[in-house]
Amino acid sequence: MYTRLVRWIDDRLMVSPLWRDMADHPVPAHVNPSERVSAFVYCFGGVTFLLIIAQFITGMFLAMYYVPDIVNSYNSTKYLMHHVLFGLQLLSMHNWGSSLIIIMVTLHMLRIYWMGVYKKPRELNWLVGVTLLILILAFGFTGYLLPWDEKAYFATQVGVSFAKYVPFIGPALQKILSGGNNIGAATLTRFFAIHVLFLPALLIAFLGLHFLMIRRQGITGPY
Amino acid sequence: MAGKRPQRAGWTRRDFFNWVLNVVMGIIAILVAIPALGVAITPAFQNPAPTWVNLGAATGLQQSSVQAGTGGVGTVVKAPYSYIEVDHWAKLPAADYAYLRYIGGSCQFFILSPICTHLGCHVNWIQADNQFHCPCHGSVYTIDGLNVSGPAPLPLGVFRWKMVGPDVWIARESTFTHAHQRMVEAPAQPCLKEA
Ligand code: FES
Repeated sequence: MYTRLVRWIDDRLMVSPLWRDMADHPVPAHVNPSERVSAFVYCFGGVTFLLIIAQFITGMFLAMYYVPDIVNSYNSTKYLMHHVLFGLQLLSMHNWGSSLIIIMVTLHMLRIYWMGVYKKPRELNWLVGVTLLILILAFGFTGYLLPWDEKAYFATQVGVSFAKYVPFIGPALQKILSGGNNIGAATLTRFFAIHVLFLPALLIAFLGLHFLMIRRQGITGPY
Repeated sequence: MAGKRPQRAGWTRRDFFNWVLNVVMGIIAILVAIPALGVAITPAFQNPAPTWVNLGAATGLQQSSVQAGTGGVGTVVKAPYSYIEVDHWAKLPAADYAYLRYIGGSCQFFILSPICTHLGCHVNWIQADNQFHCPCHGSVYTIDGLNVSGPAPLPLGVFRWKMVGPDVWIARESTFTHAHQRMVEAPAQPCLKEA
Protein backbone atom coordinates (compact mmCIF):
# COMPACT_ATOMS: atom_id res chain seq x y z
CA MET A 1 0.00 0.00 0.00
CA TYR A 2 2.61 2.46 1.16
CA THR A 3 5.10 1.40 -1.51
CA ARG A 4 2.40 1.68 -4.16
CA LEU A 5 1.56 5.20 -3.04
CA VAL A 6 5.24 6.14 -3.11
CA ARG A 7 5.57 4.62 -6.59
CA TRP A 8 2.49 6.49 -7.78
CA ILE A 9 3.94 9.78 -6.64
CA ASP A 10 7.41 8.95 -7.96
CA ASP A 11 5.98 8.15 -11.40
CA ARG A 12 4.86 11.75 -11.52
CA LEU A 13 7.24 13.79 -9.42
CA MET A 14 10.30 11.64 -8.65
CA VAL A 15 10.61 12.73 -5.05
CA SER A 16 12.21 9.56 -3.68
CA PRO A 17 15.69 10.40 -5.00
CA LEU A 18 15.50 13.78 -3.29
CA TRP A 19 14.51 12.18 -0.04
CA ARG A 20 17.11 9.41 -0.36
CA ASP A 21 19.71 12.06 -1.04
CA MET A 22 18.88 13.66 2.30
CA ALA A 23 18.19 10.59 4.40
CA ASP A 24 21.03 8.40 3.11
CA HIS A 25 23.61 11.15 2.96
CA PRO A 26 26.69 9.63 4.59
CA VAL A 27 28.36 11.46 7.45
CA PRO A 28 32.00 10.95 8.38
CA ALA A 29 32.66 8.27 11.00
CA HIS A 30 34.01 10.79 13.49
CA VAL A 31 30.60 12.51 13.83
CA ASN A 32 28.71 9.23 14.36
CA PRO A 33 27.94 8.66 18.05
CA SER A 34 27.51 4.93 17.41
CA GLU A 35 31.15 4.81 16.37
CA ARG A 36 32.44 7.00 19.13
CA VAL A 37 30.17 8.16 21.94
CA SER A 38 31.93 11.50 22.34
CA ALA A 39 30.63 12.38 18.88
CA PHE A 40 27.34 13.36 20.53
CA VAL A 41 28.67 16.92 20.53
CA TYR A 42 27.89 16.96 16.81
CA CYS A 43 24.20 16.49 17.60
CA PHE A 44 23.54 19.82 19.30
CA GLY A 45 22.57 21.57 16.09
CA GLY A 46 20.22 18.78 15.05
CA VAL A 47 18.61 18.69 18.48
CA THR A 48 18.07 22.45 18.25
CA PHE A 49 16.33 21.93 14.92
CA LEU A 50 14.06 19.22 16.39
CA LEU A 51 13.17 21.54 19.26
CA ILE A 52 12.40 24.32 16.79
CA ILE A 53 9.94 22.02 15.00
CA ALA A 54 8.31 21.23 18.35
CA GLN A 55 8.08 24.97 19.08
CA PHE A 56 6.36 25.57 15.75
CA ILE A 57 3.78 22.88 16.45
CA THR A 58 3.06 23.78 20.08
CA GLY A 59 2.99 27.47 19.18
CA MET A 60 0.41 26.99 16.43
CA PHE A 61 -1.90 25.20 18.83
CA LEU A 62 -1.36 27.77 21.59
CA ALA A 63 -2.51 30.45 19.17
CA MET A 64 -5.93 28.76 19.10
CA TYR A 65 -6.55 30.22 22.54
CA TYR A 66 -4.21 33.15 22.93
CA VAL A 67 -5.35 36.73 22.31
CA PRO A 68 -2.73 39.49 21.92
CA ASP A 69 -4.65 42.17 23.74
CA ILE A 70 -3.97 43.77 27.11
CA VAL A 71 -7.47 43.00 28.39
CA ASN A 72 -7.60 39.40 27.32
CA SER A 73 -4.08 38.02 26.92
CA TYR A 74 -3.62 37.26 30.62
CA ASN A 75 -7.11 35.83 30.93
CA SER A 76 -6.89 33.77 27.78
CA THR A 77 -3.57 32.32 28.93
CA LYS A 78 -5.09 31.50 32.31
CA TYR A 79 -8.11 29.96 30.61
CA LEU A 80 -5.83 27.79 28.47
CA MET A 81 -3.96 26.65 31.57
CA HIS A 82 -6.98 25.77 33.67
CA HIS A 83 -9.88 24.90 31.39
CA VAL A 84 -8.39 23.34 28.27
CA LEU A 85 -7.48 19.67 27.97
CA PHE A 86 -3.65 19.45 28.17
CA GLY A 87 -3.50 23.24 27.84
CA LEU A 88 -1.07 23.58 30.72
CA GLN A 89 1.12 20.81 29.29
CA LEU A 90 1.19 22.45 25.88
CA LEU A 91 2.08 25.83 27.34
CA SER A 92 4.79 24.24 29.49
CA MET A 93 6.26 22.43 26.50
CA HIS A 94 6.51 25.70 24.61
CA ASN A 95 7.94 27.42 27.66
CA TRP A 96 10.54 24.75 28.51
CA GLY A 97 11.27 24.19 24.84
CA SER A 98 12.34 27.81 24.48
CA SER A 99 14.85 27.48 27.33
CA LEU A 100 16.12 24.18 25.95
CA ILE A 101 16.67 25.73 22.53
CA ILE A 102 18.76 28.48 24.00
CA ILE A 103 20.82 25.92 25.92
CA MET A 104 21.27 23.65 22.88
CA VAL A 105 22.08 26.50 20.54
CA THR A 106 24.69 27.79 22.98
CA LEU A 107 26.28 24.33 23.21
CA HIS A 108 26.17 24.12 19.42
CA MET A 109 27.94 27.45 19.11
CA LEU A 110 30.53 26.47 21.73
CA ARG A 111 31.28 23.29 19.77
CA ILE A 112 31.73 25.30 16.58
CA TYR A 113 33.93 27.80 18.35
CA TRP A 114 35.97 25.15 20.21
CA MET A 115 36.70 23.20 17.05
CA GLY A 116 37.40 26.30 15.00
CA VAL A 117 34.74 25.40 12.47
CA TYR A 118 34.10 29.06 11.68
CA LYS A 119 37.43 29.31 9.81
CA LYS A 120 37.76 29.43 6.04
CA PRO A 121 35.77 28.31 4.05
CA ARG A 122 32.89 28.38 6.54
CA GLU A 123 32.87 32.05 7.59
CA LEU A 124 29.57 32.73 5.87
CA ASN A 125 27.85 29.89 7.65
CA TRP A 126 29.20 31.22 10.94
CA LEU A 127 27.57 34.55 10.13
CA VAL A 128 24.29 32.83 9.29
CA GLY A 129 24.59 30.90 12.55
CA VAL A 130 25.09 34.03 14.59
CA THR A 131 22.07 35.55 12.86
CA LEU A 132 20.08 32.47 13.86
CA LEU A 133 21.26 32.89 17.45
CA ILE A 134 20.03 36.48 17.45
CA LEU A 135 16.69 35.40 15.95
CA ILE A 136 16.28 32.75 18.64
CA LEU A 137 17.07 35.23 21.41
CA ALA A 138 14.52 37.59 19.85
CA PHE A 139 11.98 34.77 19.92
CA GLY A 140 12.62 34.33 23.62
CA PHE A 141 12.42 38.04 24.35
CA THR A 142 9.20 38.69 22.43
CA GLY A 143 7.53 35.50 23.65
CA TYR A 144 8.24 36.39 27.25
CA LEU A 145 5.89 39.38 27.13
CA LEU A 146 2.91 37.56 25.66
CA PRO A 147 1.23 36.18 28.84
CA TRP A 148 1.10 39.80 30.03
CA ASP A 149 1.71 38.98 33.68
CA GLU A 150 3.81 41.01 36.11
CA LYS A 151 7.03 39.19 35.33
CA ALA A 152 6.50 39.56 31.60
CA TYR A 153 5.65 43.24 31.88
CA PHE A 154 8.65 44.25 33.95
CA ALA A 155 11.11 42.02 32.12
CA THR A 156 10.07 43.74 28.92
CA GLN A 157 10.29 47.12 30.60
CA VAL A 158 13.91 46.33 31.44
CA GLY A 159 14.68 44.82 28.05
CA VAL A 160 13.24 47.71 26.11
CA SER A 161 15.09 50.20 28.32
CA PHE A 162 18.40 48.73 27.14
CA ALA A 163 17.65 50.21 23.74
CA LYS A 164 17.80 53.69 25.27
CA TYR A 165 21.59 53.45 25.61
CA VAL A 166 22.24 52.96 21.92
CA PRO A 167 24.15 56.10 20.82
CA PHE A 168 22.15 58.78 19.00
CA ILE A 169 19.12 56.71 18.01
CA GLY A 170 18.54 55.19 21.46
CA PRO A 171 15.35 57.02 22.51
CA ALA A 172 13.79 56.60 19.07
CA LEU A 173 14.71 52.91 19.03
CA GLN A 174 13.13 52.43 22.44
CA LYS A 175 9.90 54.00 21.21
CA ILE A 176 9.88 51.90 18.06
CA LEU A 177 10.44 48.72 20.08
CA SER A 178 7.69 49.45 22.57
CA GLY A 179 5.35 50.95 20.00
CA GLY A 180 4.86 54.09 22.07
CA ASN A 181 6.07 55.97 25.10
CA ASN A 182 5.63 53.06 27.45
CA ILE A 183 4.90 49.35 27.52
CA GLY A 184 1.25 48.94 26.62
CA ALA A 185 -1.29 47.68 24.14
CA ALA A 186 0.86 48.57 21.13
CA THR A 187 3.88 46.78 22.62
CA LEU A 188 1.90 43.60 23.02
CA THR A 189 0.53 43.52 19.47
CA ARG A 190 3.96 44.44 18.12
CA PHE A 191 5.72 41.70 20.05
CA PHE A 192 3.03 39.21 19.08
CA ALA A 193 3.38 40.01 15.39
CA ILE A 194 7.17 39.76 15.63
CA HIS A 195 6.98 36.51 17.59
CA VAL A 196 4.51 34.62 15.38
CA LEU A 197 4.98 36.16 11.91
CA PHE A 198 8.25 38.00 11.33
CA LEU A 199 10.64 35.81 13.29
CA PRO A 200 9.34 32.45 12.02
CA ALA A 201 9.66 33.66 8.42
CA LEU A 202 13.22 34.85 9.01
CA LEU A 203 14.10 31.72 10.96
CA ILE A 204 12.96 29.41 8.18
CA ALA A 205 14.90 31.41 5.58
CA PHE A 206 18.12 31.41 7.59
CA LEU A 207 17.78 27.76 8.62
CA GLY A 208 17.46 26.92 4.93
CA LEU A 209 20.69 28.82 4.20
CA HIS A 210 22.40 27.17 7.18
CA PHE A 211 21.55 23.66 5.95
CA LEU A 212 22.34 24.36 2.30
CA MET A 213 25.77 25.60 3.29
CA ILE A 214 26.41 22.53 5.44
CA ARG A 215 25.50 20.30 2.52
CA ARG A 216 27.72 22.26 0.15
CA GLN A 217 30.73 22.39 2.48
CA GLY A 218 30.37 19.16 4.44
CA ILE A 219 31.16 18.55 8.08
CA THR A 220 34.65 19.54 9.21
CA GLY A 221 37.20 16.85 9.86
CA PRO A 222 38.51 16.13 13.33
CA TYR A 223 41.01 18.62 14.59
CA MET B 1 12.20 -23.58 13.13
CA ALA B 2 15.15 -21.28 12.71
CA GLY B 3 14.65 -21.38 8.96
CA LYS B 4 11.23 -19.78 9.33
CA ARG B 5 12.68 -16.39 10.09
CA PRO B 6 14.90 -15.57 7.13
CA GLN B 7 14.39 -11.83 7.52
CA ARG B 8 16.50 -12.01 10.69
CA ALA B 9 19.53 -12.64 8.55
CA GLY B 10 19.11 -9.28 6.86
CA TRP B 11 18.75 -7.42 10.16
CA THR B 12 21.96 -5.41 10.13
CA ARG B 13 23.40 -3.05 12.66
CA ARG B 14 22.37 -0.22 10.35
CA ASP B 15 18.78 -1.50 10.23
CA PHE B 16 18.74 -1.69 14.00
CA PHE B 17 19.86 1.91 14.44
CA ASN B 18 17.38 3.02 11.82
CA TRP B 19 14.64 1.25 13.72
CA VAL B 20 15.70 2.79 17.05
CA LEU B 21 15.81 6.21 15.42
CA ASN B 22 12.31 5.81 13.99
CA VAL B 23 10.88 4.60 17.29
CA VAL B 24 12.43 7.46 19.24
CA MET B 25 11.25 10.03 16.70
CA GLY B 26 7.80 8.44 16.76
CA ILE B 27 7.62 8.71 20.54
CA ILE B 28 8.67 12.37 20.41
CA ALA B 29 6.05 13.05 17.74
CA ILE B 30 3.35 11.40 19.86
CA LEU B 31 4.39 13.34 22.95
CA VAL B 32 4.02 16.59 21.03
CA ALA B 33 0.82 15.51 19.30
CA ILE B 34 -1.13 14.51 22.41
CA PRO B 35 -1.32 17.92 24.10
CA ALA B 36 -1.62 19.70 20.76
CA LEU B 37 -4.64 17.64 19.69
CA GLY B 38 -6.08 17.81 23.20
CA VAL B 39 -6.12 21.58 22.99
CA ALA B 40 -7.67 21.50 19.52
CA ILE B 41 -10.53 19.14 20.39
CA THR B 42 -11.35 20.52 23.86
CA PRO B 43 -14.50 22.37 22.66
CA ALA B 44 -16.15 19.01 21.88
CA PHE B 45 -16.03 18.12 25.58
CA GLN B 46 -17.01 21.44 27.06
CA ASN B 47 -20.51 21.97 28.38
CA PRO B 48 -20.68 25.39 29.93
CA ALA B 49 -22.99 25.79 32.90
CA PRO B 50 -26.02 28.04 32.33
CA THR B 51 -25.82 31.68 33.36
CA TRP B 52 -28.59 32.62 35.76
CA VAL B 53 -29.87 36.14 35.10
CA ASN B 54 -32.40 38.30 36.93
CA LEU B 55 -35.55 39.30 35.04
CA GLY B 56 -36.89 41.48 37.85
CA ALA B 57 -39.64 41.27 40.48
CA ALA B 58 -42.27 38.58 39.85
CA THR B 59 -45.12 40.93 40.79
CA GLY B 60 -44.07 43.52 38.23
CA LEU B 61 -43.67 40.92 35.49
CA GLN B 62 -47.07 39.43 36.29
CA GLN B 63 -48.69 42.86 36.19
CA SER B 64 -47.21 43.83 32.83
CA SER B 65 -48.24 40.51 31.29
CA VAL B 66 -51.79 40.78 32.54
CA GLN B 67 -52.07 44.44 31.55
CA ALA B 68 -50.94 43.69 27.99
CA GLY B 69 -53.51 40.90 27.70
CA THR B 70 -57.26 41.12 27.82
CA GLY B 71 -59.78 40.12 30.48
CA GLY B 72 -57.22 39.33 33.15
CA VAL B 73 -55.44 36.73 30.99
CA GLY B 74 -51.74 37.38 30.60
CA THR B 75 -50.12 37.64 27.22
CA VAL B 76 -46.58 37.71 25.90
CA VAL B 77 -44.40 40.62 26.93
CA LYS B 78 -40.76 41.41 26.38
CA ALA B 79 -38.71 40.97 29.55
CA PRO B 80 -35.36 42.66 28.98
CA TYR B 81 -32.38 41.81 31.12
CA SER B 82 -28.71 42.58 31.28
CA TYR B 83 -25.94 40.35 32.54
CA ILE B 84 -22.24 39.67 32.38
CA GLU B 85 -21.58 37.25 29.58
CA VAL B 86 -18.74 34.84 30.30
CA ASP B 87 -17.37 33.84 26.91
CA HIS B 88 -14.41 31.56 27.62
CA TRP B 89 -11.83 34.01 28.97
CA ALA B 90 -13.77 37.15 28.09
CA LYS B 91 -16.31 38.73 30.40
CA LEU B 92 -18.51 41.33 28.76
CA PRO B 93 -21.62 43.20 29.81
CA ALA B 94 -24.44 42.05 27.55
CA ALA B 95 -28.18 42.54 27.20
CA ASP B 96 -30.99 40.51 25.68
CA TYR B 97 -34.64 39.82 26.37
CA ALA B 98 -36.97 36.91 26.96
CA TYR B 99 -40.65 36.55 26.02
CA LEU B 100 -42.55 36.13 29.24
CA ARG B 101 -46.20 35.25 29.78
CA TYR B 102 -48.12 34.99 33.01
CA ILE B 103 -50.08 31.72 32.82
CA GLY B 104 -51.24 31.45 36.43
CA GLY B 105 -51.70 28.10 38.13
CA SER B 106 -48.79 26.46 39.87
CA CYS B 107 -46.36 27.23 37.09
CA GLN B 108 -47.08 31.00 37.00
CA PHE B 109 -44.69 31.99 34.21
CA PHE B 110 -43.94 30.61 30.79
CA ILE B 111 -40.72 32.12 29.51
CA LEU B 112 -39.62 31.69 25.89
CA SER B 113 -36.30 32.31 24.26
CA PRO B 114 -36.61 34.83 21.37
CA ILE B 115 -34.03 32.94 19.29
CA CYS B 116 -35.45 31.48 16.09
CA THR B 117 -34.56 27.80 15.77
CA HIS B 118 -33.91 28.18 12.06
CA LEU B 119 -30.78 30.34 11.92
CA GLY B 120 -30.89 32.29 15.13
CA CYS B 121 -32.62 35.63 14.46
CA HIS B 122 -34.67 37.23 17.22
CA VAL B 123 -38.38 36.63 16.57
CA ASN B 124 -41.01 39.38 16.99
CA TRP B 125 -44.18 39.00 19.03
CA ILE B 126 -47.18 40.07 16.92
CA GLN B 127 -50.01 40.71 19.37
CA ALA B 128 -52.64 41.09 16.60
CA ASP B 129 -51.94 37.57 15.22
CA ASN B 130 -51.18 36.03 18.59
CA GLN B 131 -48.02 34.66 16.98
CA PHE B 132 -44.26 35.07 16.84
CA HIS B 133 -42.91 36.02 13.42
CA CYS B 134 -39.29 35.71 12.46
CA PRO B 135 -38.12 38.69 10.37
CA CYS B 136 -35.36 36.72 8.65
CA HIS B 137 -37.04 33.91 6.70
CA GLY B 138 -40.61 34.10 7.87
CA SER B 139 -40.90 31.32 10.42
CA VAL B 140 -44.08 31.50 12.49
CA TYR B 141 -44.58 30.22 16.03
CA THR B 142 -47.71 29.99 18.17
CA ILE B 143 -48.04 31.80 21.47
CA ASP B 144 -46.63 28.62 23.06
CA GLY B 145 -43.61 28.81 20.79
CA LEU B 146 -44.57 25.85 18.60
CA ASN B 147 -43.28 26.20 15.05
CA VAL B 148 -46.24 26.24 12.67
CA SER B 149 -44.82 27.45 9.39
CA GLY B 150 -41.63 28.54 7.72
CA PRO B 151 -38.22 26.87 7.85
CA ALA B 152 -37.92 26.63 11.65
CA PRO B 153 -37.25 22.96 12.54
CA LEU B 154 -37.97 23.15 16.28
CA PRO B 155 -40.20 25.05 18.70
CA LEU B 156 -38.78 28.08 20.47
CA GLY B 157 -36.65 27.22 23.49
CA VAL B 158 -38.12 27.50 26.97
CA PHE B 159 -36.13 29.00 29.82
CA ARG B 160 -35.74 27.11 33.03
CA TRP B 161 -36.47 29.60 35.77
CA LYS B 162 -36.66 29.96 39.54
CA MET B 163 -37.63 32.42 42.21
CA VAL B 164 -34.83 34.12 44.11
CA GLY B 165 -36.53 36.13 46.83
CA PRO B 166 -39.12 38.26 45.03
CA ASP B 167 -37.31 38.04 41.68
CA VAL B 168 -37.57 35.75 38.67
CA TRP B 169 -34.25 34.34 37.46
CA ILE B 170 -33.83 32.47 34.16
CA ALA B 171 -31.12 30.06 33.07
CA ARG B 172 -29.44 31.29 29.90
CA GLU B 173 -28.00 28.38 28.01
CA SER B 174 -26.65 28.00 24.51
CA THR B 175 -29.36 28.43 21.86
CA PHE B 176 -28.72 24.87 20.87
CA THR B 177 -29.46 23.53 24.38
CA HIS B 178 -32.61 25.64 24.65
CA ALA B 179 -34.13 24.39 21.45
CA HIS B 180 -33.39 20.74 22.14
CA GLN B 181 -34.67 20.86 25.68
CA ARG B 182 -38.13 20.89 24.35
CA MET B 183 -39.06 17.41 23.21
CA VAL B 184 -41.63 16.86 20.52
CA GLU B 185 -43.89 15.04 22.99
CA ALA B 186 -43.54 17.72 25.68
CA PRO B 187 -46.67 19.69 26.55
CA ALA B 188 -47.19 22.99 24.77
CA GLN B 189 -46.28 24.82 27.95
CA PRO B 190 -43.65 22.75 29.77
CA CYS B 191 -43.25 24.04 33.29
CA LEU B 192 -39.55 24.45 33.76
CA LYS B 193 -39.80 26.13 37.14
CA GLU B 194 -37.17 25.03 39.57
CA ALA B 195 -37.66 24.89 43.30
S1 FES C 1 -33.77 32.68 11.24
FE1 FES C 1 -35.86 32.73 11.67
S2 FES C 1 -36.69 32.01 9.87
FE2 FES C 1 -34.60 31.89 9.42
